[in-house]
Amino acid sequence: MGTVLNSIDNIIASSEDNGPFTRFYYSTIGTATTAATTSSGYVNAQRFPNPLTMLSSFGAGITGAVFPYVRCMSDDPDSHFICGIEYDMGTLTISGNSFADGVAMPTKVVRGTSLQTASQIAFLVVNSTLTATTPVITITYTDQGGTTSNTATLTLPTNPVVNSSFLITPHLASGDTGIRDITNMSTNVGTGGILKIYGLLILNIVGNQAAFTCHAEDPLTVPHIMWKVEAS
Amino acid sequence: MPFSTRNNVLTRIAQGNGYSTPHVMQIATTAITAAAAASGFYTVQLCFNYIGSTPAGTLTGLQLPPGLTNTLNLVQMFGATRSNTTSLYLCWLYQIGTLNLASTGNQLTHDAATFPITRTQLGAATQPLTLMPVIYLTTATTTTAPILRLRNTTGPAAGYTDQDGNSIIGTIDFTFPAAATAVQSGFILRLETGDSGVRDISQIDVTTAAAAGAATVFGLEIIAPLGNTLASTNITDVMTTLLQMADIAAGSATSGTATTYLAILRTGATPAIATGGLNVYIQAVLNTT
Repeated sequence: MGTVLNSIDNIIASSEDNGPFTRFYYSTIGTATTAATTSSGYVNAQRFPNPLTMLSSFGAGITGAVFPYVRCMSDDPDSHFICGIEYDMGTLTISGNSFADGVAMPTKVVRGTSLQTASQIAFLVVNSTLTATTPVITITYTDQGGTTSNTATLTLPTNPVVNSSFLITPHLASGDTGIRDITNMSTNVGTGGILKIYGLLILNIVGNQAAFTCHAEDPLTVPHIMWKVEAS
Repeated sequence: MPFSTRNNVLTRIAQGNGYSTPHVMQIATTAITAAAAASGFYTVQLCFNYIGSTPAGTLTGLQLPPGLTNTLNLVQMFGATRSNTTSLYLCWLYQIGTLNLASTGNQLTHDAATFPITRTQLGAATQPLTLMPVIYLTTATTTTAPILRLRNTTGPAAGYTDQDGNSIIGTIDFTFPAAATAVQSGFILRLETGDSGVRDISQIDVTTAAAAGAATVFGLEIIAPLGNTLASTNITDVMTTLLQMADIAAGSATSGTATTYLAILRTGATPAIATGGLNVYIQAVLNTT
């Protein structure tokens, strides 16, 4: 039976009553990824390519789950992790300059009202290593307010390798803060590789100040928005 | 009757329904072998009972009180180590099988129990658990560093069932970090890109054998993290930090009875797990009717 998660006690009781969703996540990237530049997101980023998957269904009366505690550890110091619900918003196959639409960001209940969300953070991710010399990637999108046909342009480093990720946010149109939907992607050059755009709703951001140290911010000492996660 | 409030939890403790495990102390005097890139990067230590210089021949995990008829819910954990940066986790280990590393071919002898392991998750009963595959050396390897894959070359046939229930033929080599990989060394087996865990492992192909060596393969389920230890102590408040007072009971095999251990997983930088002591105890409260 579901419990409305509107108090600390209710979250504890629901976890104990319904059984928690707890996962140990482990991922390695064996090949160094490609560093960002000022024209490709500024900040170096990697996407770990094996996302956790949610249960296909919940128990009776349960409409969603929240993630109050996320804990991360890495062998790489001075970095941080972003754990989020990831939406595959679009794919660009460099060969043929072919775009395949993905999903739009979802609606979520915010302050009691179902609202169209925009990405809190969005990355252009190398899904398959590119064969392309400083490709200029043009992204056409609907912004956080619903304005269509805005564009973001990133010039990627030459032949970026798989799992390299480039932050789109610094290259959004002036005044924009997020992306609701991707309507087109294109490149000016290149013969191989695949790019994807992932929009995220952030579940938690966890710092890693030194190698192999774990950090987690719990919701009582560092309150954070807990997006509801649905089945499947 | 579930816990309804934090006060209710404290009341039950005051009523004598609290439980503390015996204080487990482990001293490893023999260095285990550090992982390398081809063996998953992370060195893993599975902390069973061993005090002194000789590990026990029979593995024993943390002990729970017998005859429980209600859930026993975790409230607090204490951990201390004397070595460098490591991370400790309370976990259930489900024995998937044993592996002979001294011969080539499919060398996995699966446990009698049928996987997946299931438990109630988010209100849905009998949900398969996604387990992290860990290999634990029970006999040191000699002469040659073994290489294995999660598949059977004959066919080839699938080696594991992934987190979504797909049968997967492994393509990635797992190479032990040294010809002489020490007993009690542990590593996380390498899965295919896109996979985040296993429901079961059915076959493991040893493509390069050692002269000697044997291992146990576990599926690991995290119960709760025990914090980050910098050669010091750490206490995890499970109730109000994790907001997740998990039932300590093990999950259930699909059929048969799984061989299980409630144990401590310790992982971290490769030099950190060479030698050193570990103190752990956990506290829980009985959910009375």
